[in-house]
Amino acid sequence: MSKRLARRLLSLLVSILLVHAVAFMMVRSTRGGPFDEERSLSPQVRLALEQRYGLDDPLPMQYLRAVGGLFRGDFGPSLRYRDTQVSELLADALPISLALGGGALLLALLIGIPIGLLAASRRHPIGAGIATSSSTLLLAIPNFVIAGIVVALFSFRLGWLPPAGFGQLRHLLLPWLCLALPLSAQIALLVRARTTETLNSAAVRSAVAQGLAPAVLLKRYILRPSLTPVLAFLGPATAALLTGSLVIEQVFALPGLGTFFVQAALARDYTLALGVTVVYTALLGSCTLVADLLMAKLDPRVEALS
Amino acid sequence: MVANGPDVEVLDPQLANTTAAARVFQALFEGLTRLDPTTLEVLPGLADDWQSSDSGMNWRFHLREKLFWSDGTALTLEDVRDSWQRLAAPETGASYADWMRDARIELFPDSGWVMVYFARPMPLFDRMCAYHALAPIPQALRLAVPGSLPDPLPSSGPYRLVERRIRDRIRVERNPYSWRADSVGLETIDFRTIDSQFTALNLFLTNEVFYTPNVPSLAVPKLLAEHADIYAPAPQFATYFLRFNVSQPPFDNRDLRLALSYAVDRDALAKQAGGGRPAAPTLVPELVDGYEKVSGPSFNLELAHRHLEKAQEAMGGSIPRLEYIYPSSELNRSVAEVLQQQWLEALDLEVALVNLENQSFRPLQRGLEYQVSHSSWIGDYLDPLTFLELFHSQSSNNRTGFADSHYDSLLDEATAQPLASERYDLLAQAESMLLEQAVVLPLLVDISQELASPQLLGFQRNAAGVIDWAALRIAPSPTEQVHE
Repeated sequence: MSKRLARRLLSLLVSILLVHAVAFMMVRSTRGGPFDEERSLSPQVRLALEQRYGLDDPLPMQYLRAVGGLFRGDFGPSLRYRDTQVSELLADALPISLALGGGALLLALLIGIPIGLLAASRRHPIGAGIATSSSTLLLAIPNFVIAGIVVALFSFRLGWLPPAGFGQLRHLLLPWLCLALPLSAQIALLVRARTTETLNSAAVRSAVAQGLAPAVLLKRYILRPSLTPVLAFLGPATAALLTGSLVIEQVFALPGLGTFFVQAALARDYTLALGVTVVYTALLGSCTLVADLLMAKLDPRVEALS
Repeated sequence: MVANGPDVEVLDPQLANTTAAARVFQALFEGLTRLDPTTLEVLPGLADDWQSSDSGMNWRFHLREKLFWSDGTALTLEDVRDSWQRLAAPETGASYADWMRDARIELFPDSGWVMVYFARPMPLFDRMCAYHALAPIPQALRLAVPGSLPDPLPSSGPYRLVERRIRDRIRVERNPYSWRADSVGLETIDFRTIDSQFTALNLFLTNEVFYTPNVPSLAVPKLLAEHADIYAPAPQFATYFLRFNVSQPPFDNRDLRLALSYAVDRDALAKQAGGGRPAAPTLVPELVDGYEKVSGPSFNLELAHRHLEKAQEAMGGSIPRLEYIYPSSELNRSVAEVLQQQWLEALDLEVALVNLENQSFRPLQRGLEYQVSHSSWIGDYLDPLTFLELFHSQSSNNRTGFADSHYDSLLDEATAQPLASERYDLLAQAESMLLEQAVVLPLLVDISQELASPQLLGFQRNAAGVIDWAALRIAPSPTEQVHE
């Protein structure tokens, strides 16, 4: 187990290095630079800035310096936030993104699993129909559209929650909802598919025949096997959350990582763009890793296979 | 609470140059002078007296007595000198470094005067001193290691920094050490980073913010119709225009430039794509008292055709493929599409549109790797020179390849001319020349799109986005006003 974990961690490290290298090449091969502003800098000023940030050094040297920084966790100063270090920017924004993504993931599970179970239920055909069709519908609506709807409803019509902002728990409720809804639909459909399958299985039939209490039946025979595909889905789901959070951060004016991801690239803030890319890679890699470990624990077949 | 638009990326008045940063610096850092938010006249700031001589070659400012930074330390003549020297030093990396280029500064501590000797006339230096790039900055900031911000950050304006959370907010509080601390109305102000104009509008309409600098164009018709008390767009000292690359074919041909210029119906453009912005017949917006409007090419199909024929003749019968580049934005795209349509209808010329993101667009324009390109400029100070000097042959903001010694000498003479009326005459000649040569084609005048709550008392709209934060008050109770 620990040997496998070590192997997985090593491969995560290698992917981070690879992504970093590719990102470095991409960001440095695009046209324009961080100091191309509407009001041109004089040649002397531009030269002084390039010297300060080492942008006049040969590219291989700049790359090696970036890799060295990567191992020290130091990405250097941001080229646009000229009074701030990239690591400070990341340290401020990462917890916000994690709170946003983590909360949304939890909410999605809390909504998605019961709805999925309901959708698979044979005893409530109408409820099942509604659950299935509403999930399919939700899956088709992008989260920024949902954002418009929930702001119109909760901020303007009902006046319960602020339309944007950051600082208190109530500022996070609408963003969580917007991120969680499409995801919960996906989870519901996954749970529904597997549960329908499980309900028809010989194990459940014989358990029912033995007269097991419904609660035990649900917990031991239905829920556990139904959750394996959900866990397998958590890795990509986190990816969807992180990339989806970018729009939601803009709409709700949340100071998370997502906005940096786009703006750093557009502004040619090389150091910040690299920093955000590395953090995202590490985040995605660790989420997939955790999901895999959990799955092995829940379903012995997975462990046996690997 | 204020929605301040995009993030203020750097809290250094010498390094930041966005309008969002300018709003924050107007609260934090005071210049030797400041501008009256109603008339835009130059008012005393940290200096209570100033004079110039030799047509603006030399200036002297008298610093108020007993000035302090917001941490209680004295604000001295040395601070003024060292700040200006830092601005000029290339290592600082300031985009306004050229303002203090070759300036020699001398202090007279006994009498409290600072003398500045320029190598060229700077007739508007007192006005420029109101801009944050020339405001004195504290020693802690001057000596800060690049990539760091001093904490605390001493300031000289009516407010001082409490907290800065990147991408979230900049919170300022009343600065008890400001020389006008007694007249400051608000105890604290939060400048919120709000990228999305829709989000800013939502916050404004739910009374979460009292001010937002712009609104989404989709909301403009409704705001104009129903909220005239809070939304009063007015022309700004800023223009949208086209730059032609006159350094190479095909637009080294003046007739082709004129053909395209005469074929543009600005009024139709403003109506279809302007989002409330009026047509700009000239490069310099008509906001400078005493500066007479010049005339350049305006919509005339007959002249357009005549110049097109001449251009075709010169080019051996046919016009090559034309390409128009513009930086990505909703407004720029609709302007480009209307122009494309107008040129097609008027001249039967197909102009290809190329949409680029800002950082890709600028090097192309600067490197003269384009034919015709969208442009805009916000005046640094209320004077025609701020637009016309762009096209001086030595200007790094020229970006057209236009170099004309007569044009240069008109500007140089104007700068050396002490009398405003004579200066304006010379500058008007220069602008006429620029338009007649069709180096640029003015399109639209920018407008202010500020939303200010009726609860925000003391707020003044003006053409330069000047806000005197010290003068603002919040009306005590009426929360219903906005929704009515």
